Amino acid sequence: MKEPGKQSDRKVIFAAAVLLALLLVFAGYRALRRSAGLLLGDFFYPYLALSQRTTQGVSEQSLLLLSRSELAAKAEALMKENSKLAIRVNETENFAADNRELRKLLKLPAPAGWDYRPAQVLLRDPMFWREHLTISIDPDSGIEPGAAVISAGPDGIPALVGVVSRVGRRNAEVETLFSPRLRLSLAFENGGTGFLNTGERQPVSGKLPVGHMPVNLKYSAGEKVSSTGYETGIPRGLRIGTLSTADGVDPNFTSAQFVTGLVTPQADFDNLRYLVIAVPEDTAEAAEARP
Amino acid sequence: MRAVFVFTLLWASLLFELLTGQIGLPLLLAALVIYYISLATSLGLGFTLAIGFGILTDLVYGRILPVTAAILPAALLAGRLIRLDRPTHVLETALPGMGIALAALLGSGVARLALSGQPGSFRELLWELIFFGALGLFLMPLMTVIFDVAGRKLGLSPAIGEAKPNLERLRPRRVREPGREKPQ
Repeated sequence: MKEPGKQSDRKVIFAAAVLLALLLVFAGYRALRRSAGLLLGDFFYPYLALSQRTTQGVSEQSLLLLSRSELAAKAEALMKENSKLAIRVNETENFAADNRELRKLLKLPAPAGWDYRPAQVLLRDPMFWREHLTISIDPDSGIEPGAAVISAGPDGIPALVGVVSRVGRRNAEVETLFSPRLRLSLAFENGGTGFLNTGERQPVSGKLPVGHMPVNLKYSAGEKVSSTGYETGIPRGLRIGTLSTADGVDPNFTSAQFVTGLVTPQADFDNLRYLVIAVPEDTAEAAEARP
Repeated sequence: MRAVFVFTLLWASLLFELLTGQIGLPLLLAALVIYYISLATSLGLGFTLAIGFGILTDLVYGRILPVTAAILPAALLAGRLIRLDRPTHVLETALPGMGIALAALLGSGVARLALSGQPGSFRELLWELIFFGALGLFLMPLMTVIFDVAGRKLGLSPAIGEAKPNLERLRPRRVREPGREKPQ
Protein backbone atom coordinates (compact mmCIF):
# COMPACT_ATOMS: atom_id res chain seq x y z
CA MET A 1 0.00 0.00 0.00
CA LYS A 2 1.26 3.47 -0.93
CA GLU A 3 1.90 5.89 1.87
CA PRO A 4 0.72 9.44 1.08
CA GLY A 5 3.61 11.12 2.94
CA LYS A 6 6.27 9.18 1.08
CA GLN A 7 4.58 9.87 -2.24
CA SER A 8 4.61 13.67 -1.67
CA ASP A 9 8.27 13.44 -0.56
CA ARG A 10 9.11 11.72 -3.81
CA LYS A 11 7.36 14.44 -5.78
CA VAL A 12 9.33 17.15 -3.98
CA ILE A 13 12.60 15.30 -4.57
CA PHE A 14 11.72 14.82 -8.23
CA ALA A 15 10.87 18.52 -8.66
CA ALA A 16 14.10 19.54 -6.90
CA ALA A 17 16.10 17.13 -9.08
CA VAL A 18 14.52 18.55 -12.24
CA LEU A 19 15.25 22.12 -11.12
CA LEU A 20 18.83 21.21 -10.27
CA ALA A 21 19.27 19.49 -13.62
CA LEU A 22 17.94 22.56 -15.46
CA LEU A 23 20.23 24.82 -13.43
CA LEU A 24 23.22 22.63 -14.26
CA VAL A 25 22.27 22.58 -17.95
CA PHE A 26 22.02 26.38 -17.99
CA ALA A 27 25.30 26.82 -16.13
CA GLY A 28 26.99 24.32 -18.45
CA TYR A 29 25.66 26.18 -21.47
CA ARG A 30 26.99 29.51 -20.22
CA ALA A 31 30.34 27.97 -19.29
CA LEU A 32 30.92 25.95 -22.46
CA ARG A 33 29.31 28.32 -24.96
CA ARG A 34 32.55 30.01 -25.97
CA SER A 35 34.44 26.90 -26.95
CA ALA A 36 31.57 24.60 -27.89
CA GLY A 37 30.11 27.08 -30.38
CA LEU A 38 33.33 27.28 -32.36
CA LEU A 39 33.91 23.54 -32.13
CA LEU A 40 30.41 22.84 -33.44
CA GLY A 41 30.90 25.45 -36.15
CA ASP A 42 33.97 23.56 -37.35
CA PHE A 43 32.08 20.29 -37.03
CA PHE A 44 29.19 21.46 -39.21
CA TYR A 45 31.50 23.22 -41.68
CA PRO A 46 31.47 20.44 -44.34
CA TYR A 47 27.66 20.29 -44.36
CA LEU A 48 27.18 24.04 -44.48
CA ALA A 49 29.93 24.52 -47.04
CA LEU A 50 28.17 21.93 -49.21
CA SER A 51 25.40 24.39 -50.07
CA GLN A 52 28.02 27.00 -51.01
CA ARG A 53 29.80 24.51 -53.25
CA THR A 54 26.52 23.47 -54.87
CA THR A 55 25.61 27.10 -55.64
CA GLN A 56 29.07 27.68 -57.05
CA GLY A 57 28.84 24.51 -59.15
CA VAL A 58 25.45 25.50 -60.56
CA SER A 59 26.78 28.96 -61.37
CA GLU A 60 29.79 27.44 -63.18
CA GLN A 61 27.60 25.02 -65.09
CA SER A 62 25.25 27.83 -66.15
CA LEU A 63 28.29 29.67 -67.48
CA LEU A 64 29.05 26.68 -69.69
CA LEU A 65 25.62 26.99 -71.27
CA LEU A 66 26.61 30.30 -72.84
CA SER A 67 27.72 30.35 -76.47
CA ARG A 68 31.33 31.07 -77.46
CA SER A 69 30.50 34.55 -78.74
CA GLU A 70 28.71 35.41 -75.48
CA LEU A 71 31.66 34.15 -73.44
CA ALA A 72 34.09 36.11 -75.62
CA ALA A 73 32.00 39.28 -75.12
CA LYS A 74 31.98 38.75 -71.37
CA ALA A 75 35.73 38.13 -71.29
CA GLU A 76 36.33 41.30 -73.32
CA ALA A 77 34.16 43.35 -70.96
CA LEU A 78 36.05 41.96 -67.97
CA MET A 79 39.40 42.77 -69.58
CA LYS A 80 38.29 46.36 -70.12
CA GLU A 81 37.11 46.59 -66.51
CA ASN A 82 40.40 45.09 -65.29
CA SER A 83 42.47 47.58 -67.23
CA LYS A 84 40.44 50.47 -65.74
CA LEU A 85 40.90 49.04 -62.26
CA ALA A 86 44.65 48.58 -62.84
CA ILE A 87 44.95 52.30 -63.72
CA ARG A 88 43.03 53.23 -60.58
CA VAL A 89 45.23 50.98 -58.43
CA ASN A 90 48.30 52.60 -59.94
CA GLU A 91 46.91 56.07 -59.11
CA THR A 92 46.19 54.99 -55.54
CA GLU A 93 49.71 53.57 -55.18
CA ASN A 94 51.12 56.90 -56.36
CA PHE A 95 49.00 58.71 -53.77
CA ALA A 96 50.16 56.32 -51.07
CA ALA A 97 53.81 56.90 -52.06
CA ASP A 98 53.24 60.68 -51.95
CA ASN A 99 51.59 60.31 -48.56
CA ARG A 100 54.53 58.33 -47.19
CA GLU A 101 56.98 60.92 -48.58
CA LEU A 102 55.07 63.82 -47.03
CA ARG A 103 54.87 62.02 -43.72
CA LYS A 104 58.62 61.49 -43.78
CA LEU A 105 59.19 65.17 -44.48
CA LEU A 106 56.86 66.15 -41.65
CA LYS A 107 58.47 63.51 -39.42
CA LEU A 108 55.11 61.80 -38.83
CA PRO A 109 54.81 58.03 -38.23
CA ALA A 110 53.83 55.86 -41.22
CA PRO A 111 50.11 55.00 -41.44
CA ALA A 112 48.98 51.60 -40.24
CA GLY A 113 48.98 49.15 -43.12
CA TRP A 114 46.16 46.69 -43.68
CA ASP A 115 45.85 43.44 -45.47
CA TYR A 116 42.49 41.96 -46.43
CA ARG A 117 41.32 38.36 -46.25
CA PRO A 118 38.27 37.10 -48.13
CA ALA A 119 35.50 35.34 -46.22
CA GLN A 120 32.09 33.95 -47.00
CA VAL A 121 28.95 33.94 -44.89
CA LEU A 122 28.58 30.40 -43.58
CA LEU A 123 25.66 30.63 -41.20
CA ARG A 124 23.05 33.24 -40.36
CA ASP A 125 20.85 33.13 -37.31
CA PRO A 126 17.19 33.46 -38.33
CA MET A 127 16.26 34.70 -34.86
CA PHE A 128 18.89 37.46 -34.73
CA TRP A 129 19.19 37.93 -38.47
CA ARG A 130 20.91 41.31 -38.56
CA GLU A 131 22.93 41.05 -35.39
CA HIS A 132 25.00 37.95 -35.61
CA LEU A 133 26.54 35.77 -38.32
CA THR A 134 29.18 33.09 -38.79
CA ILE A 135 31.74 33.31 -41.58
CA SER A 136 34.07 30.73 -43.09
CA ILE A 137 37.74 31.63 -43.01
CA ASP A 138 41.03 30.08 -44.03
CA PRO A 139 42.73 28.23 -41.17
CA ASP A 140 45.94 30.31 -41.47
CA SER A 141 44.39 33.68 -42.25
CA GLY A 142 45.65 35.33 -39.07
CA ILE A 143 42.25 36.83 -38.26
CA GLU A 144 41.85 37.84 -34.64
CA PRO A 145 38.89 38.98 -32.52
CA GLY A 146 38.21 42.67 -33.08
CA ALA A 147 39.01 42.58 -36.81
CA ALA A 148 36.76 44.67 -39.05
CA VAL A 149 34.36 42.82 -41.34
CA ILE A 150 33.76 44.70 -44.57
CA SER A 151 31.27 44.30 -47.38
CA ALA A 152 30.68 46.22 -50.57
CA GLY A 153 27.51 48.28 -50.23
CA PRO A 154 24.84 48.50 -52.96
CA ASP A 155 26.90 51.23 -54.67
CA GLY A 156 30.14 49.22 -54.47
CA ILE A 157 31.67 51.35 -51.70
CA PRO A 158 33.30 49.21 -48.98
CA ALA A 159 31.31 49.46 -45.79
CA LEU A 160 31.78 48.17 -42.28
CA VAL A 161 29.49 45.25 -41.40
CA GLY A 162 30.72 44.43 -37.93
CA VAL A 163 33.56 43.07 -35.86
CA VAL A 164 34.87 39.53 -35.44
CA SER A 165 33.98 38.41 -31.94
CA ARG A 166 35.36 34.87 -31.85
CA VAL A 167 37.67 32.92 -34.11
CA GLY A 168 37.74 29.16 -34.67
CA ARG A 169 39.91 27.13 -37.00
CA ARG A 170 37.67 27.39 -40.05
CA ASN A 171 34.95 29.77 -38.91
CA ALA A 172 34.57 33.02 -37.03
CA GLU A 173 31.62 34.70 -35.38
CA VAL A 174 30.76 38.28 -36.24
CA GLU A 175 28.87 40.83 -34.16
CA THR A 176 27.33 43.21 -36.66
CA LEU A 177 26.65 46.93 -36.24
CA PHE A 178 23.09 46.04 -35.21
CA SER A 179 24.28 44.00 -32.23
CA PRO A 180 23.46 45.93 -29.03
CA ARG A 181 26.70 44.62 -27.50
CA LEU A 182 28.92 46.33 -30.08
CA ARG A 183 30.34 49.70 -29.03
CA LEU A 184 32.17 51.60 -31.76
CA SER A 185 33.42 55.14 -32.27
CA LEU A 186 32.19 56.98 -35.37
CA ALA A 187 33.45 60.04 -37.22
CA PHE A 188 31.11 62.54 -38.87
CA GLU A 189 31.90 64.72 -41.88
CA ASN A 190 31.71 67.84 -39.71
CA GLY A 191 34.65 66.57 -37.63
CA GLY A 192 32.55 65.37 -34.72
CA THR A 193 32.56 61.89 -33.24
CA GLY A 194 29.92 59.67 -31.72
CA PHE A 195 29.54 56.21 -30.26
CA LEU A 196 27.44 53.45 -31.72
CA ASN A 197 24.77 51.84 -29.52
CA THR A 198 25.19 54.35 -26.71
CA GLY A 199 23.02 57.19 -25.47
CA GLU A 200 19.33 57.20 -24.70
CA ARG A 201 18.04 57.01 -28.25
CA GLN A 202 15.61 54.11 -28.76
CA PRO A 203 16.55 51.88 -31.70
CA VAL A 204 14.45 52.11 -34.85
CA SER A 205 14.14 49.25 -37.32
CA GLY A 206 16.97 49.36 -39.86
CA LYS A 207 18.76 52.28 -38.14
CA LEU A 208 21.67 52.39 -35.73
CA PRO A 209 21.42 54.48 -32.55
CA VAL A 210 24.36 56.81 -31.95
CA GLY A 211 25.10 58.71 -28.77
CA HIS A 212 27.71 61.06 -27.31
CA MET A 213 27.74 63.42 -30.30
CA PRO A 214 29.13 66.81 -29.17
CA VAL A 215 26.30 69.34 -28.87
CA ASN A 216 28.30 72.30 -30.19
CA LEU A 217 28.54 70.90 -33.74
CA LYS A 218 25.92 71.14 -36.45
CA TYR A 219 24.71 67.83 -37.85
CA SER A 220 22.81 67.50 -41.08
CA ALA A 221 20.86 64.55 -42.45
CA GLY A 222 22.71 62.65 -45.15
CA GLU A 223 26.10 63.36 -43.59
CA LYS A 224 28.55 60.49 -44.17
CA VAL A 225 29.62 58.50 -41.12
CA SER A 226 32.87 56.53 -41.08
CA SER A 227 35.19 54.73 -38.68
CA THR A 228 37.64 56.72 -36.58
CA GLY A 229 40.48 54.20 -36.46
CA TYR A 230 40.56 54.38 -32.65
CA GLU A 231 39.76 50.67 -32.43
CA THR A 232 42.74 48.38 -32.97
CA GLY A 233 41.23 46.11 -35.62
CA ILE A 234 39.30 48.69 -37.66
CA PRO A 235 40.93 50.82 -40.39
CA ARG A 236 40.29 54.56 -40.33
CA GLY A 237 37.80 56.14 -42.75
CA LEU A 238 35.80 53.02 -43.43
CA ARG A 239 32.23 53.96 -44.37
CA ILE A 240 29.62 53.00 -41.80
CA GLY A 241 26.56 54.79 -43.14
CA THR A 242 24.81 58.11 -43.36
CA LEU A 243 23.26 60.18 -40.61
CA SER A 244 19.48 60.14 -40.88
CA THR A 245 18.47 62.23 -37.85
CA ALA A 246 20.09 64.02 -34.95
CA ASP A 247 18.59 65.80 -31.94
CA GLY A 248 17.90 69.42 -32.83
CA VAL A 249 19.28 71.20 -29.75
CA ASP A 250 20.45 74.81 -29.54
CA PRO A 251 23.76 74.65 -27.61
CA ASN A 252 23.13 78.16 -26.21
CA PHE A 253 19.92 77.09 -24.48
CA THR A 254 20.77 73.66 -23.09
CA SER A 255 22.94 72.21 -20.38
CA ALA A 256 23.38 68.93 -22.31
CA GLN A 257 26.88 68.12 -23.50
CA PHE A 258 25.90 65.51 -26.07
CA VAL A 259 23.10 64.75 -28.49
CA THR A 260 21.96 61.49 -30.03
CA GLY A 261 21.11 60.47 -33.56
CA LEU A 262 20.29 57.63 -35.92
CA VAL A 263 22.53 56.30 -38.68
CA THR A 264 21.39 54.34 -41.74
CA PRO A 265 24.04 51.67 -42.37
CA GLN A 266 25.77 51.57 -45.74
CA ALA A 267 25.99 47.76 -46.00
CA ASP A 268 22.97 45.77 -47.10
CA PHE A 269 22.54 43.43 -44.15
CA ASP A 270 19.89 41.31 -45.85
CA ASN A 271 22.18 40.37 -48.73
CA LEU A 272 25.53 39.53 -47.21
CA ARG A 273 27.50 36.80 -48.91
CA TYR A 274 31.09 37.69 -49.69
CA LEU A 275 32.98 39.65 -47.06
CA VAL A 276 36.48 40.93 -46.46
CA ILE A 277 38.30 40.93 -43.13
CA ALA A 278 40.87 43.60 -42.34
CA VAL A 279 44.08 42.25 -40.86
CA PRO A 280 46.99 44.50 -39.76
CA GLU A 281 49.98 44.17 -42.11
CA ASP A 282 52.93 42.30 -40.69
CA THR A 283 55.69 44.61 -41.82
CA ALA A 284 58.18 46.25 -39.49
CA GLU A 285 57.08 49.69 -40.69
CA ALA A 286 53.43 48.87 -40.06
CA ALA A 287 54.18 47.40 -36.66
CA GLU A 288 55.94 50.63 -35.69
CA ALA A 289 53.03 52.74 -36.86
CA ARG A 290 50.41 50.61 -35.14
CA PRO A 291 48.96 52.18 -31.97
CA MET B 1 17.27 0.57 -33.89
CA ARG B 2 14.89 3.08 -32.31
CA ALA B 3 17.80 5.19 -31.08
CA VAL B 4 19.36 5.19 -34.56
CA PHE B 5 16.06 6.21 -36.15
CA VAL B 6 15.51 9.03 -33.63
CA PHE B 7 19.09 10.21 -34.01
CA THR B 8 18.82 10.22 -37.81
CA LEU B 9 15.59 12.23 -37.69
CA LEU B 10 17.10 14.79 -35.33
CA TRP B 11 20.33 15.03 -37.32
CA ALA B 12 18.48 15.59 -40.58
CA SER B 13 16.19 18.18 -39.00
CA LEU B 14 19.16 20.03 -37.49
CA LEU B 15 20.93 20.21 -40.85
CA PHE B 16 17.71 21.32 -42.52
CA GLU B 17 17.22 23.90 -39.79
CA LEU B 18 20.72 25.32 -40.31
CA LEU B 19 20.35 25.42 -44.08
CA THR B 20 16.92 27.09 -44.00
CA GLY B 21 18.15 29.44 -41.28
CA GLN B 22 20.62 30.88 -43.80
CA ILE B 23 17.74 32.30 -45.79
CA GLY B 24 16.00 33.56 -42.66
CA LEU B 25 13.31 30.89 -42.28
CA PRO B 26 12.33 30.41 -38.64
CA LEU B 27 12.45 27.29 -36.48
CA LEU B 28 9.73 24.86 -37.48
CA LEU B 29 10.75 21.43 -38.69
CA ALA B 30 12.74 20.48 -35.60
CA ALA B 31 9.77 21.26 -33.35
CA LEU B 32 7.52 19.03 -35.47
CA VAL B 33 10.08 16.22 -35.54
CA ILE B 34 10.40 16.32 -31.76
CA TYR B 35 6.61 16.17 -31.42
CA TYR B 36 6.59 13.09 -33.67
CA ILE B 37 9.32 11.46 -31.61
CA SER B 38 7.38 12.17 -28.41
CA LEU B 39 4.35 10.42 -29.94
CA ALA B 40 6.35 7.46 -31.18
CA THR B 41 8.32 7.03 -27.97
CA SER B 42 7.43 8.85 -24.75
CA LEU B 43 6.69 12.36 -23.57
CA GLY B 44 9.67 12.35 -21.19
CA LEU B 45 12.08 11.48 -23.99
CA GLY B 46 10.44 14.16 -26.14
CA PHE B 47 11.09 16.86 -23.54
CA THR B 48 14.64 15.68 -22.96
CA LEU B 49 15.36 15.73 -26.68
CA ALA B 50 13.71 19.15 -27.03
CA ILE B 51 16.00 20.64 -24.40
CA GLY B 52 19.10 18.88 -25.75
CA PHE B 53 18.36 19.76 -29.35
CA GLY B 54 17.63 23.36 -28.37
CA ILE B 55 20.96 23.69 -26.59
CA LEU B 56 22.80 22.22 -29.58
CA THR B 57 21.08 24.65 -31.97
CA ASP B 58 21.87 27.63 -29.75
CA LEU B 59 25.50 26.55 -29.47
CA VAL B 60 25.84 26.26 -33.23
CA TYR B 61 24.38 29.75 -33.69
CA GLY B 62 26.54 31.09 -30.83
CA ARG B 63 23.62 32.73 -29.00
CA ILE B 64 24.14 34.32 -25.60
CA LEU B 65 21.27 32.45 -23.98
CA PRO B 66 19.85 29.00 -24.80
CA VAL B 67 16.52 30.38 -26.01
CA THR B 68 15.71 27.44 -28.30
CA ALA B 69 16.10 25.10 -25.33
CA ALA B 70 13.07 26.90 -23.84
CA ILE B 71 11.11 27.35 -27.09
CA LEU B 72 11.17 23.70 -28.20
CA PRO B 73 9.77 22.22 -24.95
CA ALA B 74 7.11 24.96 -24.93
CA ALA B 75 6.13 24.07 -28.50
CA LEU B 76 6.05 20.38 -27.60
CA LEU B 77 3.86 21.15 -24.59
CA ALA B 78 1.49 23.15 -26.79
CA GLY B 79 1.21 20.24 -29.21
CA ARG B 80 0.56 17.72 -26.47
CA LEU B 81 -2.02 19.96 -24.77
CA ILE B 82 -3.99 20.33 -27.99
CA ARG B 83 -4.24 16.55 -28.31
CA LEU B 84 -3.92 14.85 -24.94
CA ASP B 85 -4.55 11.28 -26.13
CA ARG B 86 -2.45 9.44 -28.63
CA PRO B 87 -3.80 10.21 -32.11
CA THR B 88 -5.55 7.34 -33.84
CA HIS B 89 -5.71 8.98 -37.26
CA VAL B 90 -3.06 10.89 -39.18
CA LEU B 91 -5.24 13.98 -39.51
CA GLU B 92 -5.46 14.25 -35.74
CA THR B 93 -1.86 15.48 -35.75
CA ALA B 94 -2.76 18.48 -37.93
CA LEU B 95 -3.99 20.79 -35.15
CA PRO B 96 -1.07 19.99 -32.84
CA GLY B 97 1.20 20.70 -35.83
CA MET B 98 -0.33 24.14 -36.17
CA GLY B 99 -0.10 24.73 -32.42
CA ILE B 100 3.56 23.73 -32.40
CA ALA B 101 4.39 26.06 -35.28
CA LEU B 102 2.56 28.95 -33.59
CA ALA B 103 4.18 28.30 -30.21
CA ALA B 104 7.65 28.10 -31.78
CA LEU B 105 7.13 31.33 -33.71
CA LEU B 106 5.68 33.16 -30.72
CA GLY B 107 8.60 31.93 -28.62
CA SER B 108 11.07 33.23 -31.21
CA GLY B 109 9.21 36.54 -31.28
CA VAL B 110 9.40 36.90 -27.51
CA ALA B 111 13.11 35.98 -27.48
CA ARG B 112 13.78 38.52 -30.24
CA LEU B 113 11.86 41.18 -28.35
CA ALA B 114 13.79 40.50 -25.15
CA LEU B 115 17.31 40.05 -26.53
CA SER B 116 17.49 41.89 -29.83
CA GLY B 117 18.54 45.51 -30.16
CA GLN B 118 16.25 45.95 -33.13
CA PRO B 119 12.53 46.41 -32.59
CA GLY B 120 10.51 43.64 -34.22
CA SER B 121 7.67 44.25 -36.59
CA PHE B 122 4.33 43.00 -35.22
CA ARG B 123 2.79 42.92 -38.69
CA GLU B 124 5.61 40.74 -39.99
CA LEU B 125 5.17 38.34 -37.06
CA LEU B 126 1.43 38.17 -37.73
CA TRP B 127 1.97 37.13 -41.36
CA GLU B 128 4.56 34.60 -40.25
CA LEU B 129 2.11 33.15 -37.74
CA ILE B 130 -0.58 32.78 -40.38
CA PHE B 131 1.71 31.25 -42.99
CA PHE B 132 3.77 28.93 -40.80
CA GLY B 133 0.70 27.96 -38.73
CA ALA B 134 -0.98 26.77 -41.93
CA LEU B 135 2.24 25.06 -43.00
CA GLY B 136 2.40 23.20 -39.68
CA LEU B 137 -1.20 22.13 -40.18
CA PHE B 138 -0.30 20.36 -43.44
CA LEU B 139 3.27 19.39 -42.68
CA MET B 140 2.67 17.45 -39.45
CA PRO B 141 0.29 14.80 -40.89
CA LEU B 142 2.54 14.44 -43.93
CA MET B 143 5.63 13.97 -41.78
CA THR B 144 3.77 11.52 -39.53
CA VAL B 145 2.81 9.35 -42.51
CA ILE B 146 6.35 9.35 -43.91
CA PHE B 147 8.06 8.69 -40.58
CA ASP B 148 5.54 6.01 -39.62
CA VAL B 149 6.10 4.15 -42.89
CA ALA B 150 9.87 4.35 -42.38
CA GLY B 151 9.53 3.34 -38.73
CA ARG B 152 7.32 0.32 -39.54
CA LYS B 153 9.88 -0.92 -42.06
CA LEU B 154 12.46 -0.77 -39.30
CA GLY B 155 10.11 -2.62 -36.97
CA LEU B 156 9.41 0.37 -34.70
CA SER B 157 6.16 1.38 -33.07
CA PRO B 158 4.30 4.08 -35.04
CA ALA B 159 3.11 7.44 -33.68
CA ILE B 160 -0.48 6.74 -34.72
CA GLY B 161 -2.21 4.33 -32.35
CA GLU B 162 -4.66 1.64 -33.34
CA ALA B 163 -8.26 2.86 -33.34
CA LYS B 164 -10.76 0.74 -31.41
CA PRO B 165 -13.37 -0.85 -33.64
CA ASN B 166 -16.72 0.91 -33.46
CA LEU B 167 -18.55 -2.27 -32.45
CA GLU B 168 -16.27 -2.72 -29.45
CA ARG B 169 -16.83 0.87 -28.43
CA LEU B 170 -20.61 0.66 -28.62
CA ARG B 171 -20.99 -2.70 -26.87
CA PRO B 172 -22.25 -2.16 -23.31
CA ARG B 173 -20.08 -3.59 -20.63
CA ARG B 174 -21.59 -6.29 -18.45
CA VAL B 175 -19.91 -7.22 -15.26
CA ARG B 176 -20.89 -10.44 -13.68
CA GLU B 177 -20.13 -10.63 -10.04
CA PRO B 178 -18.58 -13.93 -8.97
CA GLY B 179 -20.78 -16.16 -6.87
CA ARG B 180 -24.03 -14.56 -7.98
CA GLU B 181 -26.38 -16.71 -9.96
CA LYS B 182 -27.76 -15.70 -13.27
CA PRO B 183 -31.23 -14.14 -12.76
CA GLN B 184 -33.99 -16.37 -14.02
